[in-house]
Amino acid sequence: MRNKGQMFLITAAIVIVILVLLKTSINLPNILQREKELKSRFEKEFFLNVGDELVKVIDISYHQSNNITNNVFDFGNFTRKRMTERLQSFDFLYVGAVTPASQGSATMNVTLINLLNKPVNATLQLDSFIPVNYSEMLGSTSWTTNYSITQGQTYTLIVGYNGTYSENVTIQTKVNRSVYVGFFDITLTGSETTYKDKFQKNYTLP
Amino acid sequence: MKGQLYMLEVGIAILMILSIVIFLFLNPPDSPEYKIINYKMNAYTGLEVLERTGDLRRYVADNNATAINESLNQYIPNFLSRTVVIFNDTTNLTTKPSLSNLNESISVSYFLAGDFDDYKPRDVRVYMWGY
Repeated sequence: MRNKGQMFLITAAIVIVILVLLKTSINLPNILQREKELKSRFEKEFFLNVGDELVKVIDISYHQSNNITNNVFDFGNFTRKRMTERLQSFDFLYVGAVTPASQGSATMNVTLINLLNKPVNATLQLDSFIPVNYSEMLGSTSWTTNYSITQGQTYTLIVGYNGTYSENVTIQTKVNRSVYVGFFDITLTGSETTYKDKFQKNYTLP
Repeated sequence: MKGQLYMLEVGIAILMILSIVIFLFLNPPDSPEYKIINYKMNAYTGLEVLERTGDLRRYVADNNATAINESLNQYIPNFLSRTVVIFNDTTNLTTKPSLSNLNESISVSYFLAGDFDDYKPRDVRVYMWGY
């Protein structure tokens, strides 16, 4: 009976332990949900950085029109390597088209970059030109083809692969101005989220 | 006297329970994993802000990992040890933390394509440990 008072303290300690356990178990689904949401937000932010920098490559290479597509290819490989280290997946299809600063007839260079982690049967078709195919185009490779065009005209390039994928890229050429068009199709996959984006950027080069 | 002592102990017991209840409801418990992602998010936010101000590209162009590390002071809790390493395509351009720290660390990457007309792909990585 001498320790009667201390019983209150012991009881309090037991009640505290029960409270903590109760609170944790009640909140467990909430905790896991919050964790998942934060992880997903973090991945999304990181994926946005990757997408933004891929576009930034063109801005940075703007004054060296011959290097733009090569730099996009290089940065794509750089990004893939780094993302693979983090167990994330980077799938990227890119088309870069460049016309020189001239008038009348000119040559348009079109390059397709396959960073899709798989070989594809690729097809390019510019307006009414006969479609050109590249069968078994391996992952991490690029393919360049040329078209004779008339400056000042607008062209539609159809990009496709495996007969299941098809996208139209509009290329507006300009007389006496060099034009660069980049088409991006990006899919980034992490443990919690997938980021997909498809867009076109048009530049009039100096 | 004995009665007063009991009352005191009852008071202490009530105070203990109350303080724990308040603590639990004001600070909902988080999983260790949540805290780790939160630290990563803080570091990422710091890098993102630096990028928006243009400082990150400048520091990276100069290989100045120290300046990046110092700029992250306000974003990453002080009790975390950290270091910033700049990587190019093949290797680290600034000093990497020792292997023991590396094994216990978490890291956040921020990719940069270069600065102005200079295409130089870089991975700015913040390593944090001691959490």
